[in-house]
Amino acid sequence: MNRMANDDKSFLLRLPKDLREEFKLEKTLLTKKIDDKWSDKRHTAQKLNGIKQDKHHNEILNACIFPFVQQGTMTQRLDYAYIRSSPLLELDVKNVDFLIASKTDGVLIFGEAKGTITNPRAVITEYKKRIQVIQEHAAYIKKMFPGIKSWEYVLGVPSGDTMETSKAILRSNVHIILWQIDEWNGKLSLAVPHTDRATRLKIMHGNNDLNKVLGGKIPTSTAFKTFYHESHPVAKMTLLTSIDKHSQSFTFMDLKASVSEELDNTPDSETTAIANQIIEWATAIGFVKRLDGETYKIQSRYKHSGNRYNELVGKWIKHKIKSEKEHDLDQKLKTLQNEFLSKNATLDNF
Amino acid sequence: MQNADKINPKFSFESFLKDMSTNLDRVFVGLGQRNWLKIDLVTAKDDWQRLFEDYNMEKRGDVYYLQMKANNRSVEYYVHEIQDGLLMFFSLSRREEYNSTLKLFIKNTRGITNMWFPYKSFESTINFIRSHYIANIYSFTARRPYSSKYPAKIRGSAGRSVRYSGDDADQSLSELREAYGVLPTTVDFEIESNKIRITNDGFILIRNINFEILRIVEEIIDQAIAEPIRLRDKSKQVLYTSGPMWNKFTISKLMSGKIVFGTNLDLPPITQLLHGFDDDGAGGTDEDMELPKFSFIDTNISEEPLRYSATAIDEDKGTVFGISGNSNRIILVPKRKTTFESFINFYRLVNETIDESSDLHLFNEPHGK
Repeated sequence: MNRMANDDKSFLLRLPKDLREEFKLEKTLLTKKIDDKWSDKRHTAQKLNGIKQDKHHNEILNACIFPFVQQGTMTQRLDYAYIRSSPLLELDVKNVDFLIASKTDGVLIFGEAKGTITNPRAVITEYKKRIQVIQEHAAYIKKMFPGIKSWEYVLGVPSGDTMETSKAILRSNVHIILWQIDEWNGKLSLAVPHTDRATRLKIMHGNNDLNKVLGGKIPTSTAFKTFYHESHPVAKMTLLTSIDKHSQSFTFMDLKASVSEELDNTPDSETTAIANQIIEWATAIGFVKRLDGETYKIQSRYKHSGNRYNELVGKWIKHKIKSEKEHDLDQKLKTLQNEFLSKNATLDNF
Repeated sequence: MQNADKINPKFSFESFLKDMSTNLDRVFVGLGQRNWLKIDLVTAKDDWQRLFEDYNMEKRGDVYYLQMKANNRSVEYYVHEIQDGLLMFFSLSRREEYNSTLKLFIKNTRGITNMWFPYKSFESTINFIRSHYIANIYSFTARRPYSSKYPAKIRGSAGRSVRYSGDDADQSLSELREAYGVLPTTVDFEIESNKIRITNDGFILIRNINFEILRIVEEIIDQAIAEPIRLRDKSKQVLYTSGPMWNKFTISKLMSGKIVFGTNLDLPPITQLLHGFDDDGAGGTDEDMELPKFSFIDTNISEEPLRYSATAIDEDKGTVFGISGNSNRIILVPKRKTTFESFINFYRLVNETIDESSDLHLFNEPHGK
């Protein structure tokens, strides 16, 4: 805010006296307008909705992965296992959500999960681009997974979106295998569209046992991981609500350990970066305070994790709206200043 | 030699029980005011001795001896391991002393918990006592979970608790069960003229210590222990661990748990479970009733059909696990800082507050839906 005032001062000096007062008045009006705009409840509702949507995406993603970690048919009889989220993390490219592998079959499954689908065609178009990226890095993938013969692409969607998504897949002529999540009964299954056999085979798994098991609806859970690489900051900061149980503080290493428990097979540099990011966000919103060196304290009126979570969400939204408002004001003020400068220039011309 | 033996007597379990009934001052040194004998049944991890490293626990034959400090006084405890990790703590401590020593220790220590009996198994223990001994109930506390499906003639949808004392308590328990659908949590018996209190969280109080009643207690425990063992064995398997390596990758291994409801539940009990019992008459008014404390964050509930998910945090033990459920069952997915008793205690919360007929299983067991 001080920065703005100083800027203002030097800016005012550039204006002739008669324009200075006019500018001050316009600025007051503008500030008032921006204040009103950002105090609207709909901004809070929007932010809450963002958190909710991320949560739903997380649930669908969890439901896709869970049977490949839970001891049972998938992991034991068929030898398919979850490896990690963001499969091409190290390459820093646009990435799908998860990677499953079978050593026995020599197969990788790249998977994308969608919480809600409003435009199936756009989803498939986007997925096509991701597939292209994966194919461009085929050599890298083969090096990472020696013994892998082929890979498949999966799209996991809520069962209500199956029909439209399935149509979009058939129309696009891209070999994407569709998984559907029945969130109410906690089931994952393969969605096989009514089409000719040749086409159908292209959008099913190579391993027919896997098709059979998935065709028969496999039990799953929408609760599993708290967050993934691409999750919302609030989902990542959720770790903080219980990090200091039985203690007054926590260390960076505590947080990093929790991060790496959430993100399987993630390089150390990446877990460090995410832990740092969590600390940075939480400090900015006033939820965490550094005590000394690598020791931190949760800044909350509460010890109870449930209350803390609500406080965390509140602080995040407040901080987010405040910084967006400041950015908005900054931009508008610049425009206003430019208007006055050109006004001045026009006056000079006469 | 005799002196040393007096200071540190060695007991077989049998001689320990005998000495308590005939020679109590040989067992408890700091025997002051005469209190009821407290027996606390506890479930702990197999290497439970390590939990008591700070207490200089000594092995005295078949029992262990330790002292825990309460303010300026030392409280003496004897521990007998019935079998791996299933323990009996004996003491003559007063209620406040017990509360500030062993009770507090169990509450805040990971890897140990009170041996809790679900309603059904507690009932069968009560029936065992009634049918095997000349036993009379003279007082009891009974509760009805909020959304109990156990039949009740009067206002079946209400949660309630009742404390009753009287010459007719034995009959009243049956009558109140039938009319109000309440199930016992604490029962005071007179067994062959011995007064004894038994609670569903594994607490036994004995008025007059004698060998006969101690043998009866041993028989009762023997009969009752199967269910706590089953719960412990299940909950210990609920784990998220690192499995084998494949190339540079670690394959994670997960064993989830599930609580299968006895009947289909609707939204109100689930809201109650996930949003706490603070305003609830059924849970809040009974001061003896200390429910396990869980927080639920990131909660998402939707109706018709009912489904919900949340992250559960055991406020006492620090375990973090995911839950996802519908009207038939709740899946328990271990996440971080897992210790087995958190799952028993969460099951207890469900069992005692929303569905007394629910049961705990592993995820892949073919029970329920």
